[in-house]
Amino acid sequence: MVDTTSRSEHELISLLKQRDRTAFTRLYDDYSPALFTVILAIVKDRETANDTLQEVFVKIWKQIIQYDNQKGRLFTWLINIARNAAIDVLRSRAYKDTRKNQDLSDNVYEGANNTSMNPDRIGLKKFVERLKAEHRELIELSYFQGMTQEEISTSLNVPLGTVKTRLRAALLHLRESMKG
Amino acid sequence: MDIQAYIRSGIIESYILGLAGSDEVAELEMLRRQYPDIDLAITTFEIEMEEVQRNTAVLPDQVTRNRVLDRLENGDGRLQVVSASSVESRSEAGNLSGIRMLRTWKWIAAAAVILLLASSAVIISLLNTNSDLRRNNADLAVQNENLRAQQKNDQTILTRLYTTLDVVSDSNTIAIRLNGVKGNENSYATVYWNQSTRDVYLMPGAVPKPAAGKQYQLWAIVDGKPVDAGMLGECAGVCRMKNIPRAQAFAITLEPEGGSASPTLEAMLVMGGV
Repeated sequence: MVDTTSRSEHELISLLKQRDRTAFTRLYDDYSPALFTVILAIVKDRETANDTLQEVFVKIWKQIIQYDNQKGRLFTWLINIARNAAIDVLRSRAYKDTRKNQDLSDNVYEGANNTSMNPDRIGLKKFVERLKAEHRELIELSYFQGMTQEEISTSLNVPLGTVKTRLRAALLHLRESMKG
Repeated sequence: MDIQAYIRSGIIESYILGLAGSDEVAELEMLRRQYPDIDLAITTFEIEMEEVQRNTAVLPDQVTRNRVLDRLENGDGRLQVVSASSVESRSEAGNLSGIRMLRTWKWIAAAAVILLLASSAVIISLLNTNSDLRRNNADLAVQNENLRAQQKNDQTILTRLYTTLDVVSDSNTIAIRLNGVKGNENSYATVYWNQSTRDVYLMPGAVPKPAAGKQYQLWAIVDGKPVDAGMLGECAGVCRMKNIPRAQAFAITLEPEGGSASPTLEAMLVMGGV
């Protein structure tokens, strides 16, 4: 595999695996904004997002031993841990508190004219917004709500094969829009 | 299989974003090991995603940082300071008489105890520091080794890449493209043959990873007969093969690890004429 990881990142990973606390602090400072953003985009509530971020870093600390550079870059590995944790939270909270979810998304950010605070505008959402409705919906359901393609197929009453093809097309468009 | 179509299908984006099914994941992870183009496409998208997500990130609350750092597993606790209260003190009142003398001696004894306690504390503190320093030293030594190993690795790759450049751009070298034979249409490799030194170099272009226990072997076809030209190992860039004075063609076959005396013709991967 082509190794595009910088030497300093290799060094960081090596120190983390040796349980070096300074390295862990560096990891937090470097990666927490991106991880927080994906979490916030999913759970939409800042307090929950901060709590989830804590759990994510505890998880990272425990699992970093298992991180293998051969399987992919560190950033990808970290973001996926964060995203999965956020989805778990979303799905458990949704199970308990559906009404509360809706209230939160209505009033917490009404004062935030600053688009960088609006969870509907941060991170990848900024680019997802630009896509056509059909593509936007698929990415919203799969990436931000953690629905499997089977679940989407059932929910939208669309054949599974169509969901798969359309989702891939949506992702390709998303990638294009990220370059603009 | 059409590698370019696979790369353009959206599967890579799906995989990196964590949306691919387990079958798709398994297939992709296998294919990336076989096809450098796929591997490169994956890494390229990873880098794009990292850049975009970092640029559009918002900050968590400052207090979260404190909480996270506090929750770190404390596996490297400092040595506990040993309680010094077990140090015994003895009054040296001995056989001196007189209350005044006794009091003086008690003061001296008390002072001695304090001094002893103080020096114990200092010793223990020094022991702590020493232990920390030694641990830090060990850590630094490990880091240093890691860095040196990394540097050595980088150096080796760099050297090999320079060699590749030299080989490929040498005006005395001819390039012979070896194309995939039936059943291996997507495979190819290139032989660089220096016409003055007769050294042969091989650049694997698209060569599937061999199964365990197997290895690729290069053959030079000389007057219709195959001549061993060396085994294909791990190389960054070109692989140095054997010196071949004459040949009309080259071919690669899959052999058991270590090679064979004569080629297994059914296991031919690629071939090309000079």
